[in-house]
Amino acid sequence: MWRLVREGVRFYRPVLLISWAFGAGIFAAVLAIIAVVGSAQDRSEILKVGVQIPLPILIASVVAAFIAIGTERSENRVRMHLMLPASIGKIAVARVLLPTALFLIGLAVSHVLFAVLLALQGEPALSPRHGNVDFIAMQLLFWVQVPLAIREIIELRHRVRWRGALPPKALLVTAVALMALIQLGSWDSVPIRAAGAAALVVLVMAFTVVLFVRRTQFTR
Amino acid sequence: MNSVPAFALTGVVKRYPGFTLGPIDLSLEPGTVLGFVGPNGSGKTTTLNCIAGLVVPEAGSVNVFGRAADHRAPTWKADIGVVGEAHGFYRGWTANENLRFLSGFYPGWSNQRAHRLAVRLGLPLDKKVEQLSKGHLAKLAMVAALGHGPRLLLLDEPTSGLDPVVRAEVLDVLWEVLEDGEHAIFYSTHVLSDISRLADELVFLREGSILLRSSKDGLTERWRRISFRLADTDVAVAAAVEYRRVRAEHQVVTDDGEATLAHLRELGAEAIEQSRMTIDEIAVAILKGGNHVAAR
Repeated sequence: MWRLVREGVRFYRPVLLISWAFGAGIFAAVLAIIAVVGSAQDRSEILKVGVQIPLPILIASVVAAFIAIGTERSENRVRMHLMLPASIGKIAVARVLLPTALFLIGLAVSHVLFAVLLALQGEPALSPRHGNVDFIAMQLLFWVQVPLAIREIIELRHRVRWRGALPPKALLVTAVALMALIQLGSWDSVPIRAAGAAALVVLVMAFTVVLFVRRTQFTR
Repeated sequence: MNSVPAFALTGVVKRYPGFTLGPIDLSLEPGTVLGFVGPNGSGKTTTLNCIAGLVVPEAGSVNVFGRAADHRAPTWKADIGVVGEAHGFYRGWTANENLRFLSGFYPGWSNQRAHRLAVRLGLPLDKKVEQLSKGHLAKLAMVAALGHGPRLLLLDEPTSGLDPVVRAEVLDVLWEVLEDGEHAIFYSTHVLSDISRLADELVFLREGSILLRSSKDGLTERWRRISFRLADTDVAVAAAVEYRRVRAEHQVVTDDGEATLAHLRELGAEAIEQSRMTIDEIAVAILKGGNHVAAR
């Protein structure tokens, strides 16, 4: 399983780096425009805006994760992986872990850049504000995982009647509703909200794995 | 001698909207080549996918070298190599990188074997998969399937869409693979010329059901095209699969040449001429004859 994820990350590493370059480049261009034509022309004001760098890196990582999901599907990777002497459970877990791993690498980079920029601003590098990055990241990761879950529900509909697919559909809709509740709820604790979002991510991943393992058709 | 079949399908059924495969009972002994012949949509690929584990049948069992083809206990997969039109290679990697990826999963993988095959087939290992021609992709699929030394090779129209030169190269490699007498090959195709040299036995499939299983030599020995003259207008000829009459000349295709000839002599037929049929012609007659042939 880990080998599958590791090889997948190796394959999509250029995509991830190019996405980051684009994200950071666009962000730097925006900063430059603000510095030239905007009101925030001194260094400290630019740095205040600059600490938002985790956001473009995270979004670029989401783009890379979506490219990975789409490419795996278009290149019919499941077929190749199922021919390997690896259990279907491991293949299923690796399938959801690959986009997650790409995204989590982006999250780690975001934290490092955030810490550096906080330090440059004179704030503690390990500020509690890192919790905000985690919370945003878990929300984005949730939406990275949802298409994989939807794909499994579509596959399920090919083999069961519509009533049979209702419970999984209801479960997924509930997960989306819970995510909305976590996003819009009035809790003050960011770490708890981030943990809640992370728990939902794990739930959706487990949901996708279970449906994949129960498939009766792995090629079309 | 190993008595465990390379694969055994027992009562395998797979249903799709408008199509049902089976129930299929089929097995393959090690060291033999089984040609699996049928028109498009007859269920060849579904059957092969059931053995490869890409399709889970609704009923029946699939065993590979005596082990249930269960995805939860995947050791049986190390014994099979699969070549089909869909492959799943990493298109952004070179052929060599794809082989390196595969080598990490198979305990029996031999880089030496894979590279020797690649050289033998003229496969450019340093080219990205997305830049490979269809012929080179087929060769890569062949190298990837044989790199770990599988005892059972499942081939789903591996030469489909290839030019005659590449097709001959691929078939030559299969011929070499067979030399040790330990490999079993299940070759699904609708191009009979591909397997007429390789196959020991042929299985004919139509609309999800097996019509006939016979040795290749038995087929070419028994099946004949016979023409004769007889005054009677309507003749029921023994073992005839096809019958045609042009004035006083009658033509039959028979699946038992000797029985037909004996019957014609009894009827007093004159100017009897017989010719052997090619495997292609026999296959067409069988697949057209359908249940008539299957009932024999």
